Amino acid sequence: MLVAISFALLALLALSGALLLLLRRDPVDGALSLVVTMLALAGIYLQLADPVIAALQVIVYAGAIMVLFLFVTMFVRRAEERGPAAAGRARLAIVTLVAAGLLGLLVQAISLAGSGASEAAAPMADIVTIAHALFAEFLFPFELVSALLLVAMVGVVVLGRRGEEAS
Amino acid sequence: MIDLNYYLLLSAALFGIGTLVVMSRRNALHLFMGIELMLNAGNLAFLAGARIHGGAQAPVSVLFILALAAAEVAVGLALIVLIHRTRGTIDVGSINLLKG
Repeated sequence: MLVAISFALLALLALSGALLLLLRRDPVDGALSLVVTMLALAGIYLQLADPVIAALQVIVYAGAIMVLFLFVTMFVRRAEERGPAAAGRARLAIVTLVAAGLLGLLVQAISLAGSGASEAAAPMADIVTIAHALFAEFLFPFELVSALLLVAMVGVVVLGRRGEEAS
Repeated sequence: MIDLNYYLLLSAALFGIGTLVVMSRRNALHLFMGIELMLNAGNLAFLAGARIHGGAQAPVSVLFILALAAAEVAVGLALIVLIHRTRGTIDVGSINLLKG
């Protein structure tokens, strides 16, 4: 019962953060409400008995990524949020229709697929299991990701320098 | 124990809202935040599925998605800053350099 209540609260928090991101014009408000969603999701991961991923969610998503977002947002804000309206009314209607259709499709798929799932709750992977999988079974993709991060870092540095010359 | 479907429904709702943000906003920053929301919805679905099936695949996938999201955001935000410096706007409707 307690688990259900806490899940409901966390889900509500995550959804309201996402809705605020959708409805507020100011990107700073959006970034802060997205932090709320990230933290609520970390809580849900804890509830799923996955403390490693929950900690990473807080450190990487709610910490590093969102701080980067806020930093850049305050860089480029100024007149942007007073610009033209987010979208025309007709366009907004179409977009809402498409998103509602997508949501309907997903719900349909879940209701079709979810019936056979057993509720036995397999034991969650702890950090040792994750590490063994990461450095044995998934070693090659792991190295690929590290190369990708290096490439991204070099790319960002190059882009930053080019901006310096342009201004 | 909460039924798996509730986690998946929450994930679907977050993904839908993320899609809506990406499609309805013209600010490049909002676009990126919508994409982040969609990635998070995917992560939630992975971990919820892992509760049923066990194993380390889902946490490892989430780790990879985390790293990819960090790389994507770093490059994307650098591009946004660069575009803002050279063109003075980050409205994706008015960035039409490749339009010919």
